[in-house]
Amino acid sequence: MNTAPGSKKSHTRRSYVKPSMKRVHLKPEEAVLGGCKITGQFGPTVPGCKPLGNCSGLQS
Amino acid sequence: MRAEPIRRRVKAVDKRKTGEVGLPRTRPGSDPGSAFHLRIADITVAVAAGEADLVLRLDEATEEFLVAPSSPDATVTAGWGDPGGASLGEPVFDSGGIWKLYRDGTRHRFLFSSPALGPLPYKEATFEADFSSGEVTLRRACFQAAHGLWPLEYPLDELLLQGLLARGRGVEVHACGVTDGSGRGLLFVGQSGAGKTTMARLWEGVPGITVLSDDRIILRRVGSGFTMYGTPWHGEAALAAPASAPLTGVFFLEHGAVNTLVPLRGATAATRLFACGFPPFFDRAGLDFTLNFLGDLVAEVPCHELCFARDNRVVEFVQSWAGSA
Repeated sequence: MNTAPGSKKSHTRRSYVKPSMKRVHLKPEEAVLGGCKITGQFGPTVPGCKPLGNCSGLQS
Repeated sequence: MRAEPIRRRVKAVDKRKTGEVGLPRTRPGSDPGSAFHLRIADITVAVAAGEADLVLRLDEATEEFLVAPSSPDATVTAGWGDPGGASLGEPVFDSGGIWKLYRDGTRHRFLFSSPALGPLPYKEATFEADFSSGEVTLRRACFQAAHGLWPLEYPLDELLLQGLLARGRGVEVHACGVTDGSGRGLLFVGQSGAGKTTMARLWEGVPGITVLSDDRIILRRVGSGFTMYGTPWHGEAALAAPASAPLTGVFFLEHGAVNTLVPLRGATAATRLFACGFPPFFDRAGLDFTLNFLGDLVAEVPCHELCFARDNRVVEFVQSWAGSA
Protein backbone atom coordinates (compact mmCIF):
# COMPACT_ATOMS: atom_id res chain seq x y z
CA MET A 1 0.00 0.00 0.00
CA ASN A 2 1.30 3.44 -0.84
CA THR A 3 1.66 6.00 1.91
CA ALA A 4 0.02 9.32 1.21
CA PRO A 5 2.47 12.19 0.82
CA GLY A 6 2.94 14.04 4.06
CA SER A 7 1.49 11.32 6.28
CA LYS A 8 3.36 10.42 9.46
CA LYS A 9 5.15 7.12 9.56
CA SER A 10 4.15 5.09 12.58
CA HIS A 11 7.19 2.83 12.66
CA THR A 12 10.59 3.78 13.96
CA ARG A 13 13.40 3.86 11.50
CA ARG A 14 16.14 1.31 11.79
CA SER A 15 19.57 2.68 12.40
CA TYR A 16 21.82 2.83 9.39
CA VAL A 17 24.32 0.07 9.03
CA LYS A 18 27.14 0.73 6.67
CA PRO A 19 27.41 -1.96 3.99
CA SER A 20 30.40 -4.17 4.41
CA MET A 21 32.16 -6.65 2.22
CA LYS A 22 32.39 -10.22 3.46
CA ARG A 23 34.85 -12.52 1.80
CA VAL A 24 33.87 -16.17 1.44
CA HIS A 25 36.67 -18.54 0.60
CA LEU A 26 36.19 -20.60 -2.54
CA LYS A 27 38.49 -23.42 -3.59
CA PRO A 28 37.88 -23.44 -7.33
CA GLU A 29 39.86 -26.62 -7.91
CA GLU A 30 37.46 -28.42 -5.57
CA ALA A 31 34.33 -26.70 -6.82
CA VAL A 32 34.90 -27.72 -10.45
CA LEU A 33 35.65 -31.38 -9.65
CA GLY A 34 38.99 -30.96 -11.32
CA GLY A 35 41.25 -33.14 -9.25
CA CYS A 36 41.52 -36.01 -6.84
CA LYS A 37 39.20 -35.54 -3.86
CA ILE A 38 40.93 -38.18 -1.81
CA THR A 39 44.45 -36.82 -1.75
CA GLY A 40 43.53 -33.20 -2.22
CA GLN A 41 45.95 -32.98 -5.13
CA PHE A 42 44.84 -31.13 -8.22
CA GLY A 43 45.93 -30.76 -11.78
CA PRO A 44 46.11 -33.10 -14.71
CA THR A 45 48.78 -35.42 -13.38
CA VAL A 46 47.85 -36.21 -9.75
CA PRO A 47 50.83 -38.59 -9.52
CA GLY A 48 50.24 -39.52 -5.92
CA CYS A 49 46.60 -40.40 -6.30
CA LYS A 50 45.77 -43.51 -4.28
CA PRO A 51 42.00 -43.43 -4.18
CA LEU A 52 39.90 -45.81 -2.17
CA GLY A 53 38.45 -48.04 -4.81
CA ASN A 54 38.06 -45.59 -7.66
CA CYS A 55 40.32 -45.22 -10.68
CA SER A 56 41.32 -48.86 -10.55
CA GLY A 57 40.74 -49.22 -14.26
CA LEU A 58 43.30 -46.64 -15.26
CA GLN A 59 46.67 -47.72 -16.53
CA SER A 60 49.47 -46.16 -14.57
CA MET B 1 12.22 -40.85 4.78
CA ARG B 2 14.58 -43.70 4.02
CA ALA B 3 17.24 -43.28 6.64
CA GLU B 4 18.21 -46.59 8.17
CA PRO B 5 20.56 -47.35 11.02
CA ILE B 6 23.66 -48.05 8.97
CA ARG B 7 26.81 -47.34 10.91
CA ARG B 8 29.28 -49.36 8.96
CA ARG B 9 31.83 -48.44 6.40
CA VAL B 10 30.85 -48.99 2.80
CA LYS B 11 32.66 -52.28 2.71
CA ALA B 12 30.25 -53.77 5.19
CA VAL B 13 26.91 -52.12 4.45
CA ASP B 14 24.14 -54.68 4.60
CA LYS B 15 21.54 -54.12 1.87
CA ARG B 16 18.87 -55.89 3.91
CA LYS B 17 19.17 -53.09 6.44
CA THR B 18 19.13 -50.29 3.87
CA GLY B 19 15.86 -51.47 2.41
CA GLU B 20 17.38 -51.65 -1.08
CA VAL B 21 15.91 -54.17 -3.45
CA GLY B 22 17.75 -57.42 -3.99
CA LEU B 23 19.49 -57.36 -7.34
CA PRO B 24 19.56 -59.95 -10.09
CA ARG B 25 23.07 -58.93 -11.07
CA THR B 26 26.31 -60.63 -11.77
CA ARG B 27 29.48 -60.04 -9.83
CA PRO B 28 31.08 -56.77 -10.94
CA GLY B 29 33.68 -57.32 -13.57
CA SER B 30 32.57 -60.79 -14.50
CA ASP B 31 29.95 -60.17 -17.16
CA PRO B 32 30.97 -58.65 -20.50
CA GLY B 33 28.25 -56.39 -21.81
CA SER B 34 26.63 -56.16 -18.40
CA ALA B 35 24.47 -53.24 -17.35
CA PHE B 36 23.92 -51.58 -14.01
CA HIS B 37 21.27 -49.30 -12.59
CA LEU B 38 22.36 -46.87 -9.89
CA ARG B 39 20.09 -44.76 -7.75
CA ILE B 40 21.68 -41.75 -6.09
CA ALA B 41 19.44 -39.21 -4.37
CA ASP B 42 16.42 -40.84 -6.01
CA ILE B 43 17.93 -40.23 -9.44
CA THR B 44 18.36 -43.42 -11.44
CA VAL B 45 21.16 -43.80 -13.96
CA ALA B 46 21.41 -46.83 -16.24
CA VAL B 47 24.90 -47.69 -17.47
CA ALA B 48 25.52 -50.33 -20.13
CA ALA B 49 28.54 -51.64 -21.94
CA GLY B 50 28.06 -51.30 -25.66
CA GLU B 51 30.65 -53.90 -26.58
CA ALA B 52 31.15 -57.48 -25.55
CA ASP B 53 34.75 -57.04 -24.41
CA LEU B 54 34.01 -54.06 -22.22
CA VAL B 55 33.56 -55.29 -18.66
CA LEU B 56 31.91 -52.99 -16.17
CA ARG B 57 33.27 -52.99 -12.66
CA LEU B 58 32.12 -50.89 -9.74
CA ASP B 59 34.01 -49.79 -6.66
CA GLU B 60 32.60 -50.92 -3.34
CA ALA B 61 30.97 -47.63 -2.45
CA THR B 62 29.16 -47.26 -5.76
CA GLU B 63 28.04 -50.87 -5.60
CA GLU B 64 25.97 -50.00 -2.55
CA PHE B 65 23.84 -47.73 -4.74
CA LEU B 66 22.85 -50.44 -7.23
CA VAL B 67 19.14 -51.02 -7.69
CA ALA B 68 17.01 -53.36 -9.72
CA PRO B 69 16.40 -52.21 -13.30
CA SER B 70 13.78 -49.48 -13.42
CA SER B 71 12.86 -46.48 -15.52
CA PRO B 72 16.03 -44.38 -15.49
CA ASP B 73 16.42 -40.62 -15.43
CA ALA B 74 19.54 -41.01 -17.57
CA THR B 75 21.01 -43.76 -19.72
CA VAL B 76 24.69 -44.05 -20.55
CA THR B 77 26.31 -46.42 -23.03
CA ALA B 78 30.05 -47.01 -22.99
CA GLY B 79 32.31 -48.27 -25.74
CA TRP B 80 35.81 -48.19 -27.13
CA GLY B 81 36.87 -45.54 -29.59
CA ASP B 82 38.92 -42.44 -30.25
CA PRO B 83 38.00 -39.81 -27.64
CA GLY B 84 38.21 -36.32 -29.06
CA GLY B 85 38.77 -37.70 -32.51
CA ALA B 86 35.94 -35.81 -34.15
CA SER B 87 35.29 -32.09 -34.03
CA LEU B 88 34.32 -31.27 -30.46
CA GLY B 89 32.47 -28.05 -31.05
CA GLU B 90 32.79 -24.84 -29.10
CA PRO B 91 35.05 -24.83 -26.03
CA VAL B 92 32.94 -23.93 -22.99
CA PHE B 93 34.88 -24.64 -19.80
CA ASP B 94 38.35 -25.76 -18.71
CA SER B 95 38.39 -27.28 -15.22
CA GLY B 96 42.12 -26.72 -14.90
CA GLY B 97 42.31 -30.41 -14.07
CA ILE B 98 41.63 -33.49 -16.11
CA TRP B 99 38.51 -32.41 -17.99
CA LYS B 100 37.29 -29.80 -20.41
CA LEU B 101 33.78 -29.15 -21.68
CA TYR B 102 32.75 -28.41 -25.26
CA ARG B 103 29.32 -27.69 -26.71
CA ASP B 104 28.39 -29.39 -29.95
CA GLY B 105 25.03 -27.96 -30.93
CA THR B 106 22.93 -28.65 -27.84
CA ARG B 107 25.08 -31.54 -26.66
CA HIS B 108 27.65 -31.41 -23.86
CA ARG B 109 30.98 -33.05 -24.61
CA PHE B 110 33.40 -33.69 -21.75
CA LEU B 111 36.97 -34.56 -22.72
CA PHE B 112 39.32 -36.18 -20.18
CA SER B 113 43.11 -36.06 -20.49
CA SER B 114 46.07 -36.75 -18.27
CA PRO B 115 49.78 -36.62 -19.05
CA ALA B 116 50.07 -39.77 -16.96
CA LEU B 117 48.11 -41.55 -19.69
CA GLY B 118 49.82 -40.03 -22.69
CA PRO B 119 49.16 -37.09 -24.99
CA LEU B 120 45.77 -38.24 -26.24
CA PRO B 121 42.48 -37.94 -24.32
CA TYR B 122 41.65 -41.14 -22.49
CA LYS B 123 37.89 -40.61 -22.33
CA GLU B 124 35.07 -38.58 -23.82
CA ALA B 125 31.51 -38.30 -22.59
CA THR B 126 28.75 -36.80 -24.72
CA PHE B 127 25.37 -36.00 -23.23
CA GLU B 128 22.16 -34.61 -24.63
CA ALA B 129 21.19 -31.12 -23.50
CA ASP B 130 19.16 -32.38 -20.52
CA PHE B 131 21.68 -35.12 -19.59
CA SER B 132 18.97 -37.76 -20.08
CA SER B 133 21.21 -39.86 -22.30
CA GLY B 134 24.82 -40.04 -23.24
CA GLU B 135 27.73 -42.03 -24.56
CA VAL B 136 31.17 -42.61 -23.08
CA THR B 137 34.06 -43.33 -25.43
CA LEU B 138 37.15 -44.93 -23.92
CA ARG B 139 40.62 -45.24 -25.41
CA ARG B 140 41.41 -48.91 -25.13
CA ALA B 141 45.16 -48.44 -24.70
CA CYS B 142 44.63 -46.40 -21.53
CA PHE B 143 42.69 -49.02 -19.58
CA GLN B 144 43.34 -52.39 -18.03
CA ALA B 145 40.21 -53.78 -19.57
CA ALA B 146 40.73 -57.31 -18.31
CA HIS B 147 40.09 -56.18 -14.76
CA GLY B 148 36.95 -54.32 -15.67
CA LEU B 149 36.38 -50.60 -15.42
CA TRP B 150 33.75 -48.09 -14.54
CA PRO B 151 32.99 -45.66 -17.39
CA LEU B 152 31.59 -43.05 -15.00
CA GLU B 153 34.72 -43.05 -12.88
CA TYR B 154 35.30 -39.81 -10.93
CA PRO B 155 34.77 -37.09 -11.84
CA LEU B 156 32.37 -38.09 -14.64
CA ASP B 157 29.88 -39.62 -12.20
CA GLU B 158 29.61 -36.35 -10.31
CA LEU B 159 29.56 -34.27 -13.50
CA LEU B 160 26.60 -36.29 -14.78
CA LEU B 161 24.72 -35.91 -11.50
CA GLN B 162 25.63 -32.22 -11.46
CA GLY B 163 23.98 -31.82 -14.86
CA LEU B 164 20.88 -33.74 -13.79
CA LEU B 165 20.60 -31.92 -10.46
CA ALA B 166 20.94 -28.47 -12.02
CA ARG B 167 17.79 -29.10 -14.05
CA GLY B 168 15.49 -28.43 -11.16
CA ARG B 169 16.39 -31.43 -9.04
CA GLY B 170 18.84 -30.29 -6.36
CA VAL B 171 22.39 -29.43 -5.38
CA GLU B 172 25.43 -31.48 -4.36
CA VAL B 173 27.52 -30.04 -1.55
CA HIS B 174 30.86 -30.72 0.07
CA ALA B 175 29.60 -31.96 3.40
CA CYS B 176 29.30 -34.73 5.91
CA GLY B 177 25.73 -35.75 6.61
CA VAL B 178 24.42 -37.70 9.59
CA THR B 179 21.00 -38.60 10.93
CA ASP B 180 20.38 -38.80 14.64
CA GLY B 181 18.29 -41.30 16.49
CA SER B 182 15.12 -39.36 15.72
CA GLY B 183 15.78 -39.35 11.99
CA ARG B 184 16.80 -35.70 11.90
CA GLY B 185 19.29 -34.83 9.17
CA LEU B 186 22.32 -32.79 10.25
CA LEU B 187 24.59 -31.37 7.57
CA PHE B 188 28.21 -30.44 8.36
CA VAL B 189 29.54 -28.30 5.54
CA GLY B 190 33.13 -27.45 4.73
CA GLN B 191 35.89 -27.56 2.20
CA SER B 192 38.90 -29.84 2.47
CA GLY B 193 40.47 -29.58 5.90
CA ALA B 194 37.37 -28.16 7.59
CA GLY B 195 36.77 -31.28 9.65
CA LYS B 196 34.18 -33.34 7.74
CA THR B 197 36.08 -36.59 8.18
CA THR B 198 36.78 -35.80 11.82
CA MET B 199 33.10 -35.09 12.37
CA ALA B 200 32.05 -38.30 10.62
CA ARG B 201 34.37 -40.36 12.79
CA LEU B 202 33.09 -38.69 15.95
CA TRP B 203 29.51 -39.57 15.02
CA GLU B 204 30.27 -43.03 13.68
CA GLY B 205 29.36 -45.68 16.19
CA VAL B 206 27.06 -43.47 18.25
CA PRO B 207 23.86 -45.49 18.84
CA GLY B 208 21.09 -44.59 16.42
CA ILE B 209 23.35 -42.58 14.15
CA THR B 210 23.70 -43.04 10.40
CA VAL B 211 26.54 -41.35 8.53
CA LEU B 212 25.21 -40.76 5.01
CA SER B 213 28.58 -39.59 3.68
CA ASP B 214 31.76 -38.09 5.05
CA ASP B 215 32.35 -35.93 1.99
CA ARG B 216 29.47 -35.47 -0.48
CA ILE B 217 25.78 -34.92 0.19
CA ILE B 218 22.98 -34.19 -2.26
CA LEU B 219 20.19 -31.85 -1.21
CA ARG B 220 16.74 -31.90 -2.80
CA ARG B 221 13.37 -30.38 -2.08
CA VAL B 222 10.89 -33.07 -1.13
CA GLY B 223 7.38 -31.93 -0.35
CA SER B 224 7.43 -28.86 1.85
CA GLY B 225 10.96 -29.42 3.13
CA PHE B 226 14.46 -30.34 2.11
CA THR B 227 15.96 -33.82 2.15
CA MET B 228 19.61 -34.79 2.25
CA TYR B 229 20.92 -37.93 0.58
CA GLY B 230 24.04 -40.01 0.96
CA THR B 231 26.25 -40.49 -2.10
CA PRO B 232 28.91 -43.02 -3.12
CA TRP B 233 31.53 -40.26 -3.20
CA HIS B 234 33.04 -40.63 0.23
CA GLY B 235 36.15 -39.16 1.79
CA GLU B 236 38.95 -40.60 3.89
CA ALA B 237 36.57 -42.14 6.41
CA ALA B 238 35.06 -44.21 3.56
CA LEU B 239 31.52 -43.74 4.82
CA ALA B 240 28.70 -43.78 2.30
CA ALA B 241 25.12 -44.95 2.67
CA PRO B 242 22.23 -45.09 0.18
CA ALA B 243 19.88 -43.44 2.64
CA SER B 244 18.23 -40.07 3.20
CA ALA B 245 16.75 -37.90 5.91
CA PRO B 246 14.85 -34.62 6.23
CA LEU B 247 17.31 -31.76 6.61
CA THR B 248 17.02 -30.25 10.08
CA GLY B 249 20.15 -28.16 10.49
CA VAL B 250 23.11 -26.85 8.51
CA PHE B 251 26.46 -26.35 10.27
CA PHE B 252 29.45 -24.64 8.67
CA LEU B 253 32.53 -26.21 10.22
CA GLU B 254 35.30 -24.24 11.88
CA HIS B 255 37.95 -25.51 14.24
CA GLY B 256 37.95 -24.06 17.73
CA ALA B 257 39.00 -24.63 21.31
CA VAL B 258 35.43 -24.95 22.54
CA ASN B 259 32.12 -25.83 20.93
CA THR B 260 30.09 -22.80 19.89
CA LEU B 261 27.15 -22.12 17.58
CA VAL B 262 26.63 -18.81 15.81
CA PRO B 263 23.42 -18.42 13.77
CA LEU B 264 23.87 -17.48 10.11
CA ARG B 265 21.12 -16.16 7.91
CA GLY B 266 20.30 -14.93 4.45
CA ALA B 267 23.03 -14.12 2.00
CA THR B 268 25.80 -15.05 4.43
CA ALA B 269 24.54 -18.58 4.83
CA ALA B 270 23.64 -18.98 1.15
CA THR B 271 27.05 -17.76 0.04
CA ARG B 272 28.90 -20.13 2.32
CA LEU B 273 26.77 -23.02 1.12
CA PHE B 274 27.35 -22.02 -2.49
CA ALA B 275 31.12 -21.93 -1.89
CA CYS B 276 30.93 -25.53 -0.72
CA GLY B 277 28.66 -26.64 -3.54
CA PHE B 278 29.35 -28.11 -6.93
CA PRO B 279 27.34 -25.86 -9.22
CA PRO B 280 27.66 -25.97 -13.01
CA PHE B 281 29.68 -22.80 -13.48
CA PHE B 282 29.31 -23.19 -17.25
CA ASP B 283 25.49 -23.30 -17.24
CA ARG B 284 23.63 -20.05 -16.65
CA ALA B 285 20.22 -21.62 -16.11
CA GLY B 286 21.75 -24.22 -13.82
CA LEU B 287 23.46 -21.53 -11.76
CA ASP B 288 20.21 -19.57 -11.50
CA PHE B 289 18.46 -22.67 -10.21
CA THR B 290 21.28 -23.44 -7.76
CA LEU B 291 21.27 -19.93 -6.29
CA ASN B 292 17.50 -19.89 -5.90
CA PHE B 293 17.55 -23.36 -4.37
CA LEU B 294 20.19 -22.40 -1.80
CA GLY B 295 18.40 -19.14 -1.04
CA ASP B 296 15.19 -21.02 -0.31
CA LEU B 297 17.03 -23.60 1.76
CA VAL B 298 18.77 -21.15 4.09
CA ALA B 299 15.46 -19.32 4.55
CA GLU B 300 13.76 -22.48 5.77
CA VAL B 301 16.47 -24.51 7.50
CA PRO B 302 18.40 -23.17 10.51
CA CYS B 303 22.04 -22.49 9.63
CA HIS B 304 24.93 -22.03 12.05
CA GLU B 305 28.64 -21.67 12.12
CA LEU B 306 29.86 -24.51 14.31
CA CYS B 307 33.24 -24.07 15.96
CA PHE B 308 34.18 -27.40 17.40
CA ALA B 309 36.91 -28.93 19.48
CA ARG B 310 38.03 -32.18 17.94
CA ASP B 311 36.56 -34.55 20.50
CA ASN B 312 33.25 -36.33 20.96
CA ARG B 313 31.69 -33.62 23.13
CA VAL B 314 30.57 -31.96 19.91
CA VAL B 315 28.18 -34.85 19.24
CA GLU B 316 26.28 -34.20 22.46
CA PHE B 317 26.52 -30.46 21.82
CA VAL B 318 24.84 -30.74 18.41
CA GLN B 319 22.33 -33.33 19.60
CA SER B 320 21.34 -30.93 22.35
CA TRP B 321 20.70 -28.23 19.76
CA ALA B 322 18.76 -30.64 17.53
CA GLY B 323 16.61 -31.76 20.44
CA SER B 324 15.59 -28.20 21.20
CA ALA B 325 15.22 -26.99 17.60
